[in-house]
Amino acid sequence: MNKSMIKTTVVTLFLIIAAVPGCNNRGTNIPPVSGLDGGEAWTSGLHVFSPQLRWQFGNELELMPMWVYIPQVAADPPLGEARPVPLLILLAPQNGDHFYFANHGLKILLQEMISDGTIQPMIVVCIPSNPAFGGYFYAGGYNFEDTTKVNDSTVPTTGNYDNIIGKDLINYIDFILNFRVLDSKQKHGIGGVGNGAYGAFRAALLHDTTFGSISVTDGPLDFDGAPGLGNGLIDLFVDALLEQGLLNVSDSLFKTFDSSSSWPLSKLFIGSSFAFSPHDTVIYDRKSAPNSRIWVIDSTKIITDTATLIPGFITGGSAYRFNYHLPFTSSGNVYAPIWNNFWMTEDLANLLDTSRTAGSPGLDGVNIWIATTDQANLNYHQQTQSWINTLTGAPYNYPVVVRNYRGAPGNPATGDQYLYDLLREILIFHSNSFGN
Amino acid sequence: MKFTGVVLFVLLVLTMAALAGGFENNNVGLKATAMGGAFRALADDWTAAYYNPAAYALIPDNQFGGNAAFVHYRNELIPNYKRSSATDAYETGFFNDQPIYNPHEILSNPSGGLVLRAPVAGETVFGFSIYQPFDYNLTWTLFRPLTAYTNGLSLPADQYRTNLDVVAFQLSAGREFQEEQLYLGLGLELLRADLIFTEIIFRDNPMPAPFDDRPYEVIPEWAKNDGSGWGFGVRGGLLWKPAKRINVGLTAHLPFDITISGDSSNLNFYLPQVADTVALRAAGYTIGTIGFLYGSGARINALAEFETKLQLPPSAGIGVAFDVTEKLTVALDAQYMLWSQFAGFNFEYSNFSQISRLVDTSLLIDGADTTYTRDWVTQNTSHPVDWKNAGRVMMGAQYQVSSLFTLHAGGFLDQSPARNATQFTPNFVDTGDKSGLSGGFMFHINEWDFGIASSYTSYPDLKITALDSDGDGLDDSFPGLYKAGYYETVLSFIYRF
Repeated sequence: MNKSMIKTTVVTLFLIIAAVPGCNNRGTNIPPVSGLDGGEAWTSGLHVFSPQLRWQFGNELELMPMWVYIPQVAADPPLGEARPVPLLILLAPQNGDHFYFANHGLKILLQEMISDGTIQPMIVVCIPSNPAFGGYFYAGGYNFEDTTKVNDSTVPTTGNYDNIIGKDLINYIDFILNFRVLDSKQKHGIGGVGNGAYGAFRAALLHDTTFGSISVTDGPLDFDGAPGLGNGLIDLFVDALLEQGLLNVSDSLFKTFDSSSSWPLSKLFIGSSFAFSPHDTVIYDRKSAPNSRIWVIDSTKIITDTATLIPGFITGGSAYRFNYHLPFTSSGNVYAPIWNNFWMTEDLANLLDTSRTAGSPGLDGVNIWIATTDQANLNYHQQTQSWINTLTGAPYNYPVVVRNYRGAPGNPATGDQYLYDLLREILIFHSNSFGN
Repeated sequence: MKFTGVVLFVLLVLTMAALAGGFENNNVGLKATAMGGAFRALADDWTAAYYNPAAYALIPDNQFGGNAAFVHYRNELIPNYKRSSATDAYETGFFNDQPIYNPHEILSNPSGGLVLRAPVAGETVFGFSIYQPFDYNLTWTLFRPLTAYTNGLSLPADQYRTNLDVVAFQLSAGREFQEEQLYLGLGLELLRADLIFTEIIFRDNPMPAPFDDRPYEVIPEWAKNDGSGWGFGVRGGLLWKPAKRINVGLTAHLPFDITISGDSSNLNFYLPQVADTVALRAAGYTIGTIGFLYGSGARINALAEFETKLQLPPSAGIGVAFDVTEKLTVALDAQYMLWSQFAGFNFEYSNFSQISRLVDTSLLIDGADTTYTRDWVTQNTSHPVDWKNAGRVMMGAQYQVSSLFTLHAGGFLDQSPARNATQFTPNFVDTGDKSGLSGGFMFHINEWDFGIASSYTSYPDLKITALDSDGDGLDDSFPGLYKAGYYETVLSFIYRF
């Protein structure tokens, strides 16, 4: 081998070695597994006990189940730091139980997002909407503290969600967690889906010093709609009757409106009728010492009209009797005496107007986030749009963060299919609203 | 000057050279590799079995040789696998928007052959060779179930893997048919195919709402199919010398389909975990029902046997070699391969065993039919590709520096069979028309030749945007930005006797 060839070989080997870094091991660059907050979810056996539930039929023990997430920092030492943190209350939609949000990934999202600093630690409480008939719009206007109302005709049959959500629940959570809930409006948030969206705004309006932030997705946010945006729930009246084959039938047949919970759309109106226009309902109250008593909620004292009175489904023996007034006639038209006097008074726009007229701050200073999709069913998108217009228009001019979204092809966002994805944004919104 | 030329040449080799389109291995042997594959009209060693069996007739002596090819797939994928609407893009669990690399591996690919001149029918040259006409080996880890799923489940690292080896055991013969003008050759191949194929596919969640809400609307299925099969092929060649310094080669290869069978040792379904079993029970899905199973976060595992068909593409080629001087030879080849024959893999499963007992009991969800139970688990899977026939042009040169040392260099342009960019998945990363450069050298010491060659194949970047490229509602492509590179180095020896 001559000298030139030796040089050539040496250079070649050198360049081959030099080329090795070009083929260096880059690894795979797979992202590491996220850390998780050490917080825990409480579920089994955990209930809100509230006398506000005394009048809710089928709930003799005055309990409401809940799902609660407690971040690690709020836990007692040595696991946590016993640090008070903000509180977020989430309201499930119709038929949603207290696991509803957890079943859409809430726990793991909280653990992941708290751990990586995306959101600040917060206690999250989820309450159900499903005791019977899929829920009652988180409504029920009876104020238990006003003892003059006991056994009065205005007693609701659906529990008194306003006071529970806006007051008792927060106090209860604070108590059982050794006072780990920060006590200020800014540190309390509320959110909801569907009927829970209505319930969130309702609770915030009726307890205007409680919540500093509201996040909702599409729901029954404007009962009668607005020009160009449909007629809200009114547009569903005919469909509810068609569902049972009762459109344009005789009055006697109309009175057979099936209350057995088996009709999805009918169920919506049955639950809300129990909330807004109940009639002659029997409540079994075990808590009334010394012996259990039966309370009869005789709404005939204030609703004498029986045109749309439906003798409700009876179960559990004579101690239970569920009657209610539908807001529509057998022809699917609005029945004004019920609709105007008992439903529209509960419409959010009216609650807001009433609140402001009474000198309440309404939603002043409350951060609002609303997710809406034109794929939503039950006219909820139109109702949400109308409510957004009310909030953002004169005279309120509230700043509202509107999150328009659509489902992926083949999987439209007709309901809550995309809640898992929206939950991330909801948690971030509230975390930011809670402030430092 | 000469030394400078050598340095420049080696630099060229190391910066640029050759994986052919699809999964063809166009680099059998050192010289052919170094000359970019332009070897059909030259083919003056045992690798003529692959490039042109007719050239056996021109090999003056007996020989045996061997190659060790070391290959490195250096690919990158930035996934964008999201379910998108007009306004939103929903995460799926893939590592979207992050560069992910295939695991670093230097893979070996040995080959060898024997050439014997025998006084049969005049003088016919026979050979026996073992080499890989088709080879592909790529692995990806791209997916982790979204955090709403149970943390206890994770998919294996080889989530997308295609390890395909087709080994040819070839008996070849070449002889002269017209004195110093026309030579013909024929190779009979016994083909052995080994396949490991994995891919994640998504199956619609059969649970009713709300248990099939996102991110549970689909259920990942991952199967590892490991099998093998035998087949046959025929390779023919013609070498024509119209002038003393010019060779013209014509070749054709006709491999027959190979049925691959084996075991699917891991047929896994990663079921969603509904957060609270109390909720499941409240919805009527009590322990022991299929509904409970589908919400439990469990992993259904099944074993099965499978069968699939490997459709290998026929090809034809032509090459011209010209002796410019006594020391310098240049060659130009072209090849056309019928890649449209290959439609991907369809796995037909049978003889299932060890399916979760709960699945086998055929308990139903809400009285639904068995499409939610055993039938759901035992469906065949399809992994199609939409490939087109593709051409390749190769050019190379060899220069005999001295009696001891020969340089080789080459390059090529290679049309991609996957140029439709539909049904594109990480299992076959052929991002577009490729180009490459190659080079190498050989030492000649007595009866021995030793050499090294290197090649680099440059791929264009490819951006796949559609998850459902044909609009049939099914995922058929893996969106993302694909980058690819391919390195190969061949060590070689030949002993002449």
